[in-house]
Amino acid sequence: MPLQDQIRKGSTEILILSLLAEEPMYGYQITQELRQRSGGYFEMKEGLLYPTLHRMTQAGWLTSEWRPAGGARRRKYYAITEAGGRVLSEQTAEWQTFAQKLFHLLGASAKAGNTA
Amino acid sequence: MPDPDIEQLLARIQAHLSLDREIEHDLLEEIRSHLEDAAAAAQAQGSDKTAALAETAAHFGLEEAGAELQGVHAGWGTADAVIAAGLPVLCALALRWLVFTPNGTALGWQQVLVRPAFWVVALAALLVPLLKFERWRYALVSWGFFWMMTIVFALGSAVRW
Repeated sequence: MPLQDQIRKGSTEILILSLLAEEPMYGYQITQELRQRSGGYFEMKEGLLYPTLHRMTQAGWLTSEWRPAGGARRRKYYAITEAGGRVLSEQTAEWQTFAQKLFHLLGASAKAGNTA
Repeated sequence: MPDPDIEQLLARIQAHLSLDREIEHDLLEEIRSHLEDAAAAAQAQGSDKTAALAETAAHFGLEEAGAELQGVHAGWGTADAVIAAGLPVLCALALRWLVFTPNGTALGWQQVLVRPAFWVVALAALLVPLLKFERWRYALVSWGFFWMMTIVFALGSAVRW
C-alpha cells in the first residue's frame, strides 16, 4: 500500500471524530465534508466509511440515531460521545507529537545532507 | 417507492451479507440513503442517471463495503440471541436457589414478593439485556420468560423441585 494511502487510512478515525465534535452528521455528509475541507486529499471509498463508523459505535466512541430525511426516507446521524471526545484529544496529541518529531528529524536530515 | 436502480446496487452489497435480518435491514437502509444522495449530487452536476449511478457505484466500492460490513457485524445478532435465551434461565435458577426453601418447596407468592433478592434477580433479567443489546425486544422476552418461570414456581408451591 502506498505511503499516502497508509497515512490516510490511519487518520480516518481522528478525522471522523473531529468532524462529529462540531455537530452530528450522516455518512454521506461526512464523506463530502472530508473531501471539501481537505481539497480532495482525504477522499476515500465512500462505502468503507460505514464499517469504520459502526466499529467506532461498537467501541462506544459514537452514538447514532435515525432522523427523517423527507418523505419516507431516513438518515442515520452519528454523534460523538464523551469517550469519543477523550479518544479525539488523545489521538490529536499523538498526531501532533508525531508530526513535530517527524519534521524535526526531516529538518535535521536535510541539514546533514546540505553540509555533506 | 424504492428506485430499482439503487436497489440493484444494494443487492451487490447484500450479496456479501449474512446477518441478523434487522441488522441487515438497517445497514441497507442507511446505505440506500447514501447512494440516493450521491446519485442525486452527480445528476445535479450534469450527469445523466446511468452515468450518475455508475459514478456512485465506483466511488462507493460496493463489494468491498459489503465484505467489510459483514466482518464488523457478523456474530452480534447470534450472540445477542444466545445470551437473551440463556439469561432468563440463569435468572430462574438464581431465583430457585436464592428465594425458595432448601427442600425445594416454593414459598407463597406473598413471601416471594417481599424478598429483596427476588427483585434484584427480576431487575437483572430486564436491565442486563435492555442495556446491553441492540434490540430491546430481547429484554422484554427475557423479562417475560423470567416472570413466567416465577409464576410456574409460585403456582407449584406444593411441588418439590
